[in-house]
Amino acid sequence: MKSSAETNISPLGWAAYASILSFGSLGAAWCLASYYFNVPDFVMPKPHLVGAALKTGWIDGLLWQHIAFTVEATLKGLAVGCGIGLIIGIIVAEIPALERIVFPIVIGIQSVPKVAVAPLIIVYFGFGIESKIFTVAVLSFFPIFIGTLRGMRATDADLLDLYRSFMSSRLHTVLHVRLPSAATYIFSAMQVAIVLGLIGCITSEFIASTQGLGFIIKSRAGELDIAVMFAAILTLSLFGTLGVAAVKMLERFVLFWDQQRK
Amino acid sequence: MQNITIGAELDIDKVNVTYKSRRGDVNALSDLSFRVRRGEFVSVLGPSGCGKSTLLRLASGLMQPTSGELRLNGDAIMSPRPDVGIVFQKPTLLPWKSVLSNVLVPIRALKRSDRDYMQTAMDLLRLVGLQDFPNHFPNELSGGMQQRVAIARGFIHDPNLLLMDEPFAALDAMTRESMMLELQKIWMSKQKSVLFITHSIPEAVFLSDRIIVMSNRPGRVMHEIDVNIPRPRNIEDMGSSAFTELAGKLRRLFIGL
Amino acid sequence: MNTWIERAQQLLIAVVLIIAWWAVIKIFDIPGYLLPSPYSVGNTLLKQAANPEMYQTIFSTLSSLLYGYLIGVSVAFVLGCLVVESKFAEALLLPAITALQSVPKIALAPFIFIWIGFGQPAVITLAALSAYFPVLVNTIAGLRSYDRDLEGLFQTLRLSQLSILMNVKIPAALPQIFAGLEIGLTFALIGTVVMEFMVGISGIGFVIQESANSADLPLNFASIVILAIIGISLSSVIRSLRRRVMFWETQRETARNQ
Repeated sequence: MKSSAETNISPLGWAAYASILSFGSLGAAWCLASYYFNVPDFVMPKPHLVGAALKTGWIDGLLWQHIAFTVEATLKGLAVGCGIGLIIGIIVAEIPALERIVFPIVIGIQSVPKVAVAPLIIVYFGFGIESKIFTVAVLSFFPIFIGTLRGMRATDADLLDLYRSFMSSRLHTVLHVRLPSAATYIFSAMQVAIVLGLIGCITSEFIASTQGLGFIIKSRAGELDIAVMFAAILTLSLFGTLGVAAVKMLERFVLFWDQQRK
Repeated sequence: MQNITIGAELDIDKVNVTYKSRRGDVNALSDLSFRVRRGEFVSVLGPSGCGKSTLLRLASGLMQPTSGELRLNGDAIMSPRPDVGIVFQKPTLLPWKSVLSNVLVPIRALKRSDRDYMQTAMDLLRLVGLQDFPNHFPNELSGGMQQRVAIARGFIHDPNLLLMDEPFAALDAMTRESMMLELQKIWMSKQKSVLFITHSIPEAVFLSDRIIVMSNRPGRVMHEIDVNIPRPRNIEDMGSSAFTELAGKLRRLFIGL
Repeated sequence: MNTWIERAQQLLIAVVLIIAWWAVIKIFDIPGYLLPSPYSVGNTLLKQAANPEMYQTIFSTLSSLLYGYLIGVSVAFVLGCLVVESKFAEALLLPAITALQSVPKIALAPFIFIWIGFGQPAVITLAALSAYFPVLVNTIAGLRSYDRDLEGLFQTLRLSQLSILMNVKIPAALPQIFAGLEIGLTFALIGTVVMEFMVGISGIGFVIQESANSADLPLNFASIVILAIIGISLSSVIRSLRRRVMFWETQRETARNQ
């Protein structure tokens, strides 16, 4: 067994080989389990059933309203959570006394699952989309807030001195030096925010909702309609991946100068 | 030296800097006094840790002395001011802005109009040999080139006093030599006052009119030496007897420290 | 010196916030079913502290969490080593695992209770699944970050691949692994709580859900506080563990400060 450091296949070739091997084996195992070993449907749905469910969901439109619901809730929640996180992050970073006190506190509660407030939010906001938006906002606020703080702190001290020596206004310094320096951190934080935001939305839908992909997964469970559940989960993963990929692309575009990222 | 001296006079008057650390009070600078006359190039030579960087922060107004005063053209330096320029050890450029934008950073920070300084910026780039690179980004340039951008930036807003903190320390020996020539060229064309921190004796002798030798912590002036080698100085001059004699004398002073 | 001034400041802030909370309720005359007063929450906390059932609850959550976490971490660590040591394992496992990662584990909760049923096993499963990926990713990244020269040295001494793994790669990977452990804990806790929301038999998650349903807001707030305490304590356990295991990091800090 060679150590992972040594290989002379091209990266693209390797990616192709690995993907085929991996997904092929996975697919093969799945088909084997479903068709040969006849694993019951409620444990592992047969591939063709999932395919059919995906078709009805996507093409015939059964899933559309739910997709729209979850996507809308997540996007709005992210907009609010990230926006507020960014603004408050900048403000706190600019007031050293405040930052010194707030930063350790926020870091400390990182280990507290903010989803715990999901039931409470439903009590306040009801079953509808508002509770989902609010939950997503709460969950996405923290990573962005922390990322912004960390990023602003990470600005090159000499750069700051340089700008101070020109008596640059605070706003000017924030906009032209501190925020761009913080950009890497903020983009990483956004990826985390998307993941956590989705978790928040799904959880809220699980607890109480009439629409949404999470709702579908939960409600179809009652009828053991696993194929549709699978379809919903795959859809969810798709959007999650798209979201993260979008942020990564945006990052590469905005941070065009940073050649260290691949 | 040339006729018109537009540089400022920097007066360092019995400056003391003490600050608190975990191990009690640290006396960084003690009773430091010297003067940079108008248009003069003064190097401060000293071992590491003798407070040279502190000196620069004082002169730029980023810091206040515990006692004593620094004066620029007679006025006390109370805060950062637009007639002082700084060049740091690291280029400290904005990686997300082009070379030209980086040179213009002081202009934008001072809320002056880009347009008025565009020609100056291009002239400075020409002076440092980077006239073909205005739209490049810092990550596309070598260390030496980045530092040249930093030097151009130091001059853009026409400061009367330029503070330079070991600007060639991070460069390799060959680049350092070409940078010394560049700096001399720019300085001779602008005639500003320069306070140049270094721990390289050849650099100090090559560039300066006068060398201040500082002691270890607490930093104070141990010796002031005039450099009477005529300008413009070349690399060959570094082999001359006047040069080697002076360098030798400085080395002996250092060992004495 | 500095830290306990800062602690005191933080305590002060906490007190100020609590007073502000109380003040807002008084000024706007907010009814208890909307926002419970600090007093009622504090009171509930004290009552729960004397309530053996609450300890049962906490124990249930903690045990689910820890079992799940340990399972997830062990599997992730072993798989991580495997993927790094064997190109074949890497090719076979990594793409599928990475693709499966895009599935938010929480969404699998209903599946889990179809497959495993109600109760603790379901909670443990979701906790394990949640912890597993961050630990895996960080283990792999960490194991790849070792000093190639040191490996070369070991190879010229004809030491086995296992020996290289244990003495070169794993030590180099420790910072990253610990980072993964901390993140894994956070996600495991999320998984535990969410599963308890849904599977609803025991645990803090269950109490949070139930108290919300019955609009017992003081209990809801109090249980969130208890959850917070659990989360923070476990995190600091991992951090102390890290300081112990990677004792040389603190030595470097002290040397740097001299």
